[in-house]
Amino acid sequence: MKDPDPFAAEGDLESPAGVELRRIERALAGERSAQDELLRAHYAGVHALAFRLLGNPEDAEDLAQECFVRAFRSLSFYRAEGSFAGWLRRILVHLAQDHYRAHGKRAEPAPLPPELCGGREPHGLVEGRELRRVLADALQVLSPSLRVALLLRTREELEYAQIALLTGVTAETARTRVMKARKLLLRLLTPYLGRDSARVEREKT
Amino acid sequence: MIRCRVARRFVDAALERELALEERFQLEAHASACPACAEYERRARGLQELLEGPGDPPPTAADVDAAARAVFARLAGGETESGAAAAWRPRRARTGALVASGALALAAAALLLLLRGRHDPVPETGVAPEVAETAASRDWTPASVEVTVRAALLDGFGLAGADEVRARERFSAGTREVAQAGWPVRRFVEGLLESPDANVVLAAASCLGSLGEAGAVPALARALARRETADGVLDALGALGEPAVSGLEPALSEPELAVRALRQLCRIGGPRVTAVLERAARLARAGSNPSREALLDALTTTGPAAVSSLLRLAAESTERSESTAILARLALVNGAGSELVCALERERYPGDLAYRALLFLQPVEALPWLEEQCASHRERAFALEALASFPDTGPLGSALHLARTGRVPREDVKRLLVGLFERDAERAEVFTRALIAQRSEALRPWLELLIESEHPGAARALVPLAFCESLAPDDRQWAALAVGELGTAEDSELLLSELAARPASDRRLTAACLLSIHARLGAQGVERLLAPCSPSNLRRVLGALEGEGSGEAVLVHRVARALDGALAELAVASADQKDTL
Repeated sequence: MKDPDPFAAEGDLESPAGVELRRIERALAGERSAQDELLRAHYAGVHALAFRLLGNPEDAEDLAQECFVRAFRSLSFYRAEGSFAGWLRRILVHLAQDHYRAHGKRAEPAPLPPELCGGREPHGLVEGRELRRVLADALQVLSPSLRVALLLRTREELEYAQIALLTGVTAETARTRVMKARKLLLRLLTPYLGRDSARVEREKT
Repeated sequence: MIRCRVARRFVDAALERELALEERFQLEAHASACPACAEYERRARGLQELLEGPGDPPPTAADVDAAARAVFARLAGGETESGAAAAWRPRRARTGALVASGALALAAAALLLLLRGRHDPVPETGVAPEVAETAASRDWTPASVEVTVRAALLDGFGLAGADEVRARERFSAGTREVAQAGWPVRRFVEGLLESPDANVVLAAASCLGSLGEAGAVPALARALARRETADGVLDALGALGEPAVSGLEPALSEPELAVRALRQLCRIGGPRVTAVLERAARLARAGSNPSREALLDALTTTGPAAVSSLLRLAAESTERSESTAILARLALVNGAGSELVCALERERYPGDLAYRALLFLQPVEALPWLEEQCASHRERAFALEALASFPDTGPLGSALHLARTGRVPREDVKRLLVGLFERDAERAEVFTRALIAQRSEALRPWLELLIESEHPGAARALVPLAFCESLAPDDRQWAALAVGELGTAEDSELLLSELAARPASDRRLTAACLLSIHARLGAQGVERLLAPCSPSNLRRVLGALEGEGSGEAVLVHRVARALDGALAELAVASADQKDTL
């Protein structure tokens, strides 16, 4: 989801922006192959954000698919004022928020999952892929509003004003949410982010 | 040195790339002396790297293929509420919260209506990306869709007498989001036909009628059961046109609905309505509502197909007066003439029904059919009578055709001609002049037929034939002589004026004309023509005309001889007149 904005500059039809513009025009004309090309070009990014937002691959897959269904159905609403990837992202975020609402809000802060609460020694066990899984679990502990704000800021690299527009809050609130989410994650992931973290923290305390 | 609290704030700022250079130096200085803050910074940066780092491995090509198949299968329209999309529609719809959300949406819709009431909503031509996206991704529930559709209905079609185009625009604008989200708006409108609110029902019916949703006919037909709103539903069915005929037909047997249903059927027209009304008229009994007469009158408005229906109904009628009354309605049917001819050629009707039908329509296209019938001994009398009743010159052409083909006895043709002259003698002259203009080969047979008719009405048609250069001189003399024999003084006056208008070059024709003029106008008529001549020449001509004991040929010869001098004087006089002019 970090694609450059293809419509930021006026390019000729053979530039990447032009190619995508033509794809969109063809898709608008009902050409299925153009829709297929658009889906394949953006599916990975959409799926990655969906996974971060929802935390499990099944829901992420459903969410990503739904995002494309909605996008193609309302393609006529798309205005070439922003990137297509950004438009997909907005649809995805709205869908994710609907999903959160549909499944109820969690208490904030949520209880830690057992593997994040100790009970086993994490040091040395969480490397690479497993660390990412732990992060995904920790993200799900955050409230949806914090999670969305943090991911839009860190993964999608949106400005606070853009996050505010997407989530329906002020830019200042969006910033506060990002800070709060980061602190909560730091607290949750302390055992995994440094061998001596716990000890240092205890000494500091 | 900065304190730990400030240092940690700087760490956060650093992650946001908002730390000034001076502040970064301060943070580094603090961290070098404070292990806790150093550790905090390390963890924070580690978390940032983790968040910004690669996620899970990207989906494989097979995953993308599967996703594409799933997406396009749903886009193809096979998706239902039980499909994957349902997962993203609020599951709270299945709970009691549905009621609350519906009520809230209703209140919002009502507020929207109130606000809109004072403004003309402008149809949306462009939608801001954010709004459009919200619309596209908005999570609709059946309840919220219904509320939206209801509000759009009342907004667009809730006012009686509102402009239909405007109503459609307002309704389309109000339901655009729902339709874009793939909800079947029509089915919701149909569902609202069962609303307890009569205004909603009427608006729904009007909407379905206005938008031409033929598939809504069954729902509208069911809605007729509610008397309170049945009139509006009937109007909507009428607006749907032919597809609604099946929905309107049952209403004809409902006394309370029948009249309005009949009106709507007339509004639709066409062969299907014709068939419905024919059935209804056949079943109608005395005192039924609508009456048989009303059904028959309605039938005449449905178009040419009504001709066959009326003929069948008339044929089925046992009372001659009633069948005549039915046939009389043929004249009210648009385009009935050619349709009647087709029906006559296609079917055989009992007795004189076909000829009685022709009495009311008399389409010129029926003349060939009637000529055919004349060839049949059994049908001839009816056919000749029908031919004689036809107006204008068409039947004269038929009489001539029948005479030339010889398929009908000459006497019958002459009787037909006499009948036609009795009704309108003037058309014979029109017909004759048309034949002359066409240089028709039928001029001579026509001349013979006129003379054989021995009817005074033929005389006026003979005058132009006397001067027709397409005819042989003997035929022209024959025509001129017949004018005096059959015609009146008025016809001879016409002959006189025609003769005076031409140079008298043909002695024998002039002689024949003078014989006819003398026969009806006497010597005065001849004197008027020969006024420029000398008294001696005039006396010679009159003497020849008044001679006795000779046949026509001898008379013509004698008068022609007597005309020698007079014609020369007439020619001089004519030349003088031209010079004077």
